[in-house]
Amino acid sequence: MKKLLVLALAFMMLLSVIACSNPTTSDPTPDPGQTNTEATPAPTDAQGTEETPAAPSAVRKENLVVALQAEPQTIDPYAASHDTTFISSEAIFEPLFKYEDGELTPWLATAYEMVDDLTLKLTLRDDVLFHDGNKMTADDVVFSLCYGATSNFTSTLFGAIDTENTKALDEQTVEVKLLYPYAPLLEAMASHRCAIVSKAAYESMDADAFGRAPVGTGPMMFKEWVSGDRIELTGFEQYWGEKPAFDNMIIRIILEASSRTVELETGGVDIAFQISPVDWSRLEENPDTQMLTGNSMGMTYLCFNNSNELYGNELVRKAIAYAINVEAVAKTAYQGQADAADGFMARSIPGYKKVGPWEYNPEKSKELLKQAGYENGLEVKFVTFQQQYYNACIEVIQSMLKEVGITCSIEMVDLATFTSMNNNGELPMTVMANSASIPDPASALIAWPLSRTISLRHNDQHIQDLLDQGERTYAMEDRVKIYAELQDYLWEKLYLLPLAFPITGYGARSNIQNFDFVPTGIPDFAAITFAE
Amino acid sequence: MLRYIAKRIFLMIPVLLGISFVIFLLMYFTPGDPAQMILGDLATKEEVEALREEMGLNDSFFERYFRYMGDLLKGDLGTSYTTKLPVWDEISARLPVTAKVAFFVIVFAVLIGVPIGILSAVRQYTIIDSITRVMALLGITMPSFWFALLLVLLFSVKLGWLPASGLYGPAYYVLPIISISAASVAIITRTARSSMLEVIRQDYIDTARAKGQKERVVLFKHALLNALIPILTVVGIQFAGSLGGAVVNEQVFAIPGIGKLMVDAIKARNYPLVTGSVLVLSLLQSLVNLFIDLLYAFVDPRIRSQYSRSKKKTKALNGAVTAGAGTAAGKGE
Repeated sequence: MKKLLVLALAFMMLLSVIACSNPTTSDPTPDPGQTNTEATPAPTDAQGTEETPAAPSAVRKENLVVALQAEPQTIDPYAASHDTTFISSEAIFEPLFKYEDGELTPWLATAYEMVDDLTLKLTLRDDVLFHDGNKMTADDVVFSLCYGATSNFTSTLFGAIDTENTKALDEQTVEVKLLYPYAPLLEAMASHRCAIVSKAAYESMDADAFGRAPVGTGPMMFKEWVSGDRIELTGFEQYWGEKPAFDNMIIRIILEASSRTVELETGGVDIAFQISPVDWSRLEENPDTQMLTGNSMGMTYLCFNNSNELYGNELVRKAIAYAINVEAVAKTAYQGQADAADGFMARSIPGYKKVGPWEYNPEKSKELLKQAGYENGLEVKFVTFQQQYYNACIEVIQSMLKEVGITCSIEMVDLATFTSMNNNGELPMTVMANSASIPDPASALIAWPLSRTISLRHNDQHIQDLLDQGERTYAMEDRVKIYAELQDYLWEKLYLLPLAFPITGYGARSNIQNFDFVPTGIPDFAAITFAE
Repeated sequence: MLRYIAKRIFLMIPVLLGISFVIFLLMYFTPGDPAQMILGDLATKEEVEALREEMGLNDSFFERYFRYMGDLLKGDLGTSYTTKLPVWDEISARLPVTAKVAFFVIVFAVLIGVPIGILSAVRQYTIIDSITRVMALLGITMPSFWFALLLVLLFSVKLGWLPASGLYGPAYYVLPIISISAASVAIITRTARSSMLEVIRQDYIDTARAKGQKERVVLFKHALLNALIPILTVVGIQFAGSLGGAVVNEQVFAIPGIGKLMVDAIKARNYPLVTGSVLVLSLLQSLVNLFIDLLYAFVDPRIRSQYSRSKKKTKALNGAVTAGAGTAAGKGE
């Protein structure tokens, strides 16, 4: 009997060893029906990636398969705030402008004129059709901008638009009126959050139905949504611009991170989002796959509930901050895939100012605790939910705080409970993150306005005044000065402690080209080309 | 028999009502705000409050419950908070996938588990029996997600024989079925073995052998039929369990099943979807149990005769009551 048990265990160990051994020598079976290719000449504007510098001849592919980490609730970009929605809708909708090589480039709008601080005149292309066959007109653009201005999800970006007075001057000209001067307007119009939707299609169905079968102007049109499994898009024959190098785009919903990695390795998908950092090196070493990584526009921070008596005390906040080695937290919690945060917004955001990282000085921490009346120690509590990086940050911080006599307890709740506690101001201290929707300081500092300071709960009018000034000043050099003053002030007050600028990325098959990392996390799928 | 079935189906109604009340109560008292979950962290209090009002979340528990039950009586399971789709549409899109996988899993588990269990019982204390018992122990104790990942790494990544995830053709079913059924195979094997062991020790089996019956006939006609009842019970439990309980494997293999739908709905505090999913799964579980009970009668003549006897008894009783009533009526006249 013992021999048999040993044999059985040996069999399981053998299975584990074979399964876990280096997979790079494998010869994976390609997913059936995915790669019927037909050679075509390489487009003249194709850019080779670092792995394939010599511009290879591109091929057409039947399907571009993308693995998403969760199912979007909707594909209407004005009705959600999750990346899954924006990735799914990116090729369906188009914005008015795009940023190419850092320059604002005309897209659905051919020109703009800032008539005065409150008026923007837009001239539109006249050769753009919606997927339902209707021509895009100024009415559709007015409708889309007003939709963005009134939606709960996009009012932070388009809320300055005066919906009553914004109008179509003629079929190709729009006059956008603003309620107050709003500097990020063009930036917002050049982002994935600006989507020109078909007014006729939207009005012919209700908002929810539009989110399940949207009609835009992009190179890919909606085909089918199989709940829980995939969203299928197909090429739009009458697209006004250059058509993509693939006929269909299939967005597969694969919740498990390891399964997305495996599908990428075996060729089941071409692109996979939210790859676990532990798999990055494996994908980089595999000749069949590549990782596209970079700093996101997000920041992870230690969030104090400033309405709480304890954390409302600046001495306590700073005592906690001095006890934390920010560099070590970022490095350990993110397994090397983050930089220590040295400011209040990502470095790629215009107006970013380096103010930190906060000094690690346990002695000073003890001194401040003494001044605050906690020389005999302090008990604090973290409340968090199941999130790998936040939890890792909290565990590291817990051990650091112990060194200065601060005892930490950690309460783990589920996300819904956490959100509810946050909304009710019941969170004492936690780790969280936010990310800019567009590369603009007003968007990067979205957690700070008094009306939206749900987690931080500061009550500092000076912050609101500087935010208003920054948002309403058009000259960039003046804005930079205002935001620099604001960041210095935030550093002085330390209502939150910046911890990490995470490095994010997505994986792709090696034959995917012209597909670069973008800090927004929403890449341009239509530009993708394929190597032989 | 038909009367019995009708009675069982009728009894499901209070069961489902009770389940709906308990689920509604649990969701009501669970912390978390669906409106806040939908709008995210940065929504203002006013925005959240407006959405709560729109969704009817500010109404009292009983108002919400009776509104839900009223809609349910009209065949409306409500609308999902997150996708805004009718709950039935969400469930009906996922249920066939889950049912198909569960069916294949149970067929595979029975085809493997029952013969091995019988063989193990017939060859008790031989090397076959020992191997079977050890493998069954492994099947039960091994975490199914770990086994699933090992299978994927071996057959998809290393060997490249089978696809890693999704359900787009016959080959895609192989790994999910093997990994999900591992525990069921083990449990059915153990049950079949112990049940057969109990039966083959009975005197009537010795009698059958003494009468010169072939061993095949003794085993399959005399022994197996009598050993089937416990096996059927376990098969029913396993099938019902795999209808809603394969959440982790659904995640590993990207199977768009109802288990994952339900877990996501709980996380999002999507009350109508949670209640609808639980009700549908409870109904299915009750139907599976009923089906298994009916199978008992099919395989065991003693149980079949009990149904017949109760029918005869009822007839006789009804006759007596009618006669009594007639007499009473006659006396009354």
